[in-house]
Amino acid sequence: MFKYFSISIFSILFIISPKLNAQCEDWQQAVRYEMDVDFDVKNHRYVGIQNVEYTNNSKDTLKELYFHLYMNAFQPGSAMDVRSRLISDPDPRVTDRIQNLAPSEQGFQRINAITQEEAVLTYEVHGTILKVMLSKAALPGKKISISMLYDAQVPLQIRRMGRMNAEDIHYSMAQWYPKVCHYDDKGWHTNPYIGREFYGHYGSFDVTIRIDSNYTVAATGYLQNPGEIGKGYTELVPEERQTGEKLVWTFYANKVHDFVWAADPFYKHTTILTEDSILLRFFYRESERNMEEWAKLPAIMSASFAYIQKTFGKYPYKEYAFIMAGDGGMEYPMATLITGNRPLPSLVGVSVHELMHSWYQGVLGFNENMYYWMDEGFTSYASELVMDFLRTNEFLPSRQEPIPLFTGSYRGYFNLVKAGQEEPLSTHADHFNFTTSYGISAYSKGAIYLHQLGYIIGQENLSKTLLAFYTKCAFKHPDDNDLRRIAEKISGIELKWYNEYWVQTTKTIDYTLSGLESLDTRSTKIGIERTGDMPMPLDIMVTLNSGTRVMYHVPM
Amino acid sequence: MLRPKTDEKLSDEFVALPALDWVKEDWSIIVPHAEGDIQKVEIDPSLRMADVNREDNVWPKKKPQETGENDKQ
Repeated sequence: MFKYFSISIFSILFIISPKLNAQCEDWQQAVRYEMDVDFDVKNHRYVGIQNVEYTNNSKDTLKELYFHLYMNAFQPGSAMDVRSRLISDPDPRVTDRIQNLAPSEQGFQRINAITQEEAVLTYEVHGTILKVMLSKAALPGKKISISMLYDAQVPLQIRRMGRMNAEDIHYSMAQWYPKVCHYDDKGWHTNPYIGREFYGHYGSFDVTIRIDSNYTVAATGYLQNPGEIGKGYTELVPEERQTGEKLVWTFYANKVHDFVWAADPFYKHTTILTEDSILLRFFYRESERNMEEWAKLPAIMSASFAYIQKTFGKYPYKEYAFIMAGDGGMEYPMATLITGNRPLPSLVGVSVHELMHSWYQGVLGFNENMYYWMDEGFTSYASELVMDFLRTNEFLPSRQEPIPLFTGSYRGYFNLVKAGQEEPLSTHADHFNFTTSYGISAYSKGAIYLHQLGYIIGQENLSKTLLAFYTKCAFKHPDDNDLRRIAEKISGIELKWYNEYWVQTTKTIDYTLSGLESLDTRSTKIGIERTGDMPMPLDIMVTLNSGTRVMYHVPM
Repeated sequence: MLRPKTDEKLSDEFVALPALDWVKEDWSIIVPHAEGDIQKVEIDPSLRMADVNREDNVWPKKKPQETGENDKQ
């Protein structure tokens, strides 16, 4: 037995520079939203007043600001509509449904006025992107404030947001306000919305929602006036309910990059406090079909929270809401919208997955357009471990036939390779030729990235890497390079090659044991061929007749 | 590259060999066991490496009737 240590300049650099704090130190913009929306449930419309304080921490002078107007995607002829009709395998929830929306069913966000310190600003709307010409430029290191008045119509539920989803939840209010486009060292991120990914600045949201009093509202953040609202937000019935037909809900959230809410007249609202004192809220429309599952969900998610915090890092907020709404499962800061009429394993599965996004997106804030595979892949990786924890500890029934972890991810990836439709992970999320290849790349190949990284650097180093990555890069929009450098510093193993192959190419791994050759009575030669284009370090297990297993590790 | 990982405790013994030049397509390792003492050899028994064809990662080769799907796992 021997160990081989190659002393190279690279290795020396690791030894003399082991600090982890060189990652995730770039500047970032900051934004503070103040919103007041008055909702008309008869016409599915609302009027919004939005004040935005924008801090330009870049070295650039910004003469324009850009905003997303996501709801404009739900109009015939929008980029999302055209993309869905032209791609060969569209999301089945979208297909040609946007094209067939009647005017009263379409979505829109219509800007009525924008001002900057009393000056009326000019602006242009290009589909889902609003360009605002500032009267006074945003100088480096300085703040500007602009106000806008807009009105909007909530479309029929097509994708993620909208009214009357498949389970009759009235309003799923995601992507619902003019949202400042991200600006970073790559410049403005003004991708037209085609139904895929998001990228937003961290900031604070002070949101007032005026809506009919029979609705219960679930949202990102903390309700500021529970005593006036009741509806499960306080155990006491409010002594003084507001008069008039609308209730005024005020929420506040800080250090989040988005704000979601949902409203339904029939929500049941339950809560549970985890052992770490995180308040979990559950909003669902109870029925015979789902009441047993939703009754069991709080205890399971409370147990999940404890495991997740121990394994992946501390959750930085005091509340999280599981909200029955949307069109499947979608993550938002401090909340998720999920469809709720599911068997328990499915309900728990989607809840765990969306909750894990609080780590791998909510707190880390990846640019999902380019790092969708970190967002979905890392979440899938973590979710698999959480689900395994829940099965092992009998919160969920065990599988009838045990299968290795991540079997589904590998199977999906191999099928994609066989189909010849794989594109590099470095492909922009919007630009995949096939929806299927985008999905498998994001969820499966992204999860394998981590599982396989554990093979390369060792599982213990992977666990340390993920914790350090989360801690060092929280709220800093890291990318794969930040993760790689942290993994290198923890493991002492250079990994640039791994990202170059796994992320930037579609080269595959294929090794072959070509045979054994006896050299003498004490030694044997084991032949190995590399038939795939991607090289890897190899673990070669030799099992002897005595039962002894010897692992020969061949680094690169 | 260039440095081995540490023992993951997946075996009774762990041996880190010299780093391999990645450009090589055919190579070999010499292990201090008589061929007759070797029951089985397997590349990546942990199944974490995404080898697109695991059929040929095991010695002795499986008999045809033991061969399952081509997919890993």
